[in-house]
Amino acid sequence: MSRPKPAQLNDVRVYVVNQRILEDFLVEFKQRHGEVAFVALSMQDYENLALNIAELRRFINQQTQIIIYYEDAVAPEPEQNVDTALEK
Amino acid sequence: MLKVYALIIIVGILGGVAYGAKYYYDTTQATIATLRENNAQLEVAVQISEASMQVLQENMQKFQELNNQLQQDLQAAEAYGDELQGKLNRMDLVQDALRDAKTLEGKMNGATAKLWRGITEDTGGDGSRPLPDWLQSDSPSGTRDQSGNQIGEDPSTNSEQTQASSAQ
Repeated sequence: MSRPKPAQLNDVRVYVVNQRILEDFLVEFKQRHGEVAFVALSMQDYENLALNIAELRRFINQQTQIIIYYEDAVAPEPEQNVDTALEK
Repeated sequence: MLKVYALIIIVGILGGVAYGAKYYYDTTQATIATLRENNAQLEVAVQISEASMQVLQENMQKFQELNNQLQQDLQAAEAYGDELQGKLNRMDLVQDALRDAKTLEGKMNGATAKLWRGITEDTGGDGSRPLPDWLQSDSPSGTRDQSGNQIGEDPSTNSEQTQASSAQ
């Protein structure tokens, strides 16, 4: 059985804005995107988002390792059977 | 006449003895043949048993190695999440943003791009696709950072754990 197809992830652009550059940011943002409408995250929420993604990645990697374990465990090994052991 | 009877009796006795000897010989040979056959079967059974034991031992060793490898891999998967948590605890992103928002933004975008490519590789894909245009060009915003370095990380370092923490 083949593995699921790899994750195809889209790039995401992050803007870091503080009070000092807020006006410049709004002007530049409107020039680039046409409208001033965006999603804002506090730094704490951004950290939480990063940790959540890291946790999901850990889960994916561990699941993959477990799949590899079972694949290796059930893989046929011709040398390891009674008949060949008898021939030895 | 008496001699004839005696002769008959002697011949009968001798015949009986001969028949008994023949019977004993035949049954003994049959028993020997049966025992020889049983012995051969037992030898085969012992060989099969020993071979089975050998296979079982080899399988036990194989599964022991697989278990050890699995535990190592599971631990490795935990490591970078823990390291990310540690780095976030040591850093102050708010202060970094107040001090130099554009530099922080560049590192965040580089790390984020590296994270997506890392996950693509983790799932069996090709993580070498081109970086987004805002990381490839010298934009006026100064957000370019192709290194994918983690926030607060020395650009000269090349940490593998960056992938886990690169969501920043």
